Amino acid sequence: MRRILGIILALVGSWMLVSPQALLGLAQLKWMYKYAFPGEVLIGIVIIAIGFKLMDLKAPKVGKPSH
Amino acid sequence: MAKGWSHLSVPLPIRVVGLLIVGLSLGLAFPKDALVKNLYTSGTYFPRTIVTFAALFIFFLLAAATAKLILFHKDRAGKMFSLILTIYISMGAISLLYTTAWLAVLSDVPFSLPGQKSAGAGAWVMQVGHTFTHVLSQQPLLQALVGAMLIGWTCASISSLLPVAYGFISAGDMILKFFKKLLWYYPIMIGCLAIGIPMKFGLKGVALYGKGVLWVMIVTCVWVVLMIITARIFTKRTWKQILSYYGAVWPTGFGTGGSYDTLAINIISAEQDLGLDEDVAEVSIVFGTVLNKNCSTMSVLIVTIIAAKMLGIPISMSEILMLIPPVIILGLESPGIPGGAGFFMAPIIAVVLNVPDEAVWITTFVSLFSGLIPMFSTAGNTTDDGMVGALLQDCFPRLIGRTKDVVPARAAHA
Repeated sequence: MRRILGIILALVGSWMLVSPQALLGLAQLKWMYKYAFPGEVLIGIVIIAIGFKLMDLKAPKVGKPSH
Repeated sequence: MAKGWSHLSVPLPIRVVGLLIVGLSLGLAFPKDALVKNLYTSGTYFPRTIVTFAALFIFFLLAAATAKLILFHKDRAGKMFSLILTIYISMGAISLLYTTAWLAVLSDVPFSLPGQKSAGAGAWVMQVGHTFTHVLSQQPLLQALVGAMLIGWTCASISSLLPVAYGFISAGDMILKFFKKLLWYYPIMIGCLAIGIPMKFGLKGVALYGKGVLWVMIVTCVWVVLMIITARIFTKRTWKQILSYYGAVWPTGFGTGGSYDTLAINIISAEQDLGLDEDVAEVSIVFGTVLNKNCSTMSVLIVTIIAAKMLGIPISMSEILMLIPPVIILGLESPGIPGGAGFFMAPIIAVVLNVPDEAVWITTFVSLFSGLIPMFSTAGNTTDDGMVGALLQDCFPRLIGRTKDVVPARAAHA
């Protein structure tokens, strides 16, 4: 249950990072901007962090650097 | 990269340059043809989609990079970590000041725009601070940038928050995998976007692109020569070692156009040609592959001026100087894929410069930041990593845990 709640929160937080910027991008996705509010990105970052904490993720395998 | 077009065994940079030429030719020959116009429009969809999701992508990539540095490299690198980080950030700042000096010579961009008062150094710092405060409070992209560094660092440093750091790393890796899977489309998109340069700006646009490539070539190649001379003067590497290293790594970086693709040959050559100790070579070059995109950031400043000229956006050297701090930060997270710096830096630059149409700016910037420009940039980025390793080994032996000042490969070469 915690994991599902974590996934939902991570998705909600991700939405909050996308929506304030949506006005400037693809015309078909500009409608997302209608739901933006001031400070949304910073709140979204915190919500993503809470979501990941609830998901209790394990350490990923470290391979070659990915950048 | 084992699927799709790579079956034709044509390297990615060659495909990019080839389709870039095709796009420019189509735009010049058929500027009013409906099919050619539609091809151009199809090329704009991907960059515009990136703009929509830019804050999300930048957040996860930078949070993941920051968390990885703390989690996976700090212990292994020991004392080297802070030293390497300091060297790479300092080199990034010096590179951008060096490029700004070049731009003052090469371009006719004024220090300030007409109507703007020439401010003193203190007033300029105040102006930069005010602009950043305003932009930071208003712009989602910069909020994501600063938030990513803070939360990536915090979560990787506090053990109870490690699952959050792992989440960022997994999300960052997924984004990079997604982009790597789409690398086959990159040359096609560049070809389509290139149509727009002559179609919208005529021969003047093509000439400006050529000027951008020439400036990047001059600025990065002179930088490489300066790095070679610096290494010879300040390290114990011989001319033979330095030139052998450059002879192996520079063409590989130039050919691949991506620092990740150059990593293996870079480490091997740093050990075998440059004569670095295995641990110094691995740490400095792996860190450099992740952190150091100094020549890409040089190209970003140059392309910014070219794009501004192309779009008729007034720009001054004071605005270029204002771009330096965010571009240094972006250089730390820019993915080492061909043209990656263009994708992820263009939206932030648009915000800082307050351009009238961000989407047009980004499509123009991405199409300009292609072809030979990422190739020269990567060649410089990757070879700088080896030079940083040489500086570490020869100039800071005690700080990196070397009690003896030993240069085995040089002895072997002698």
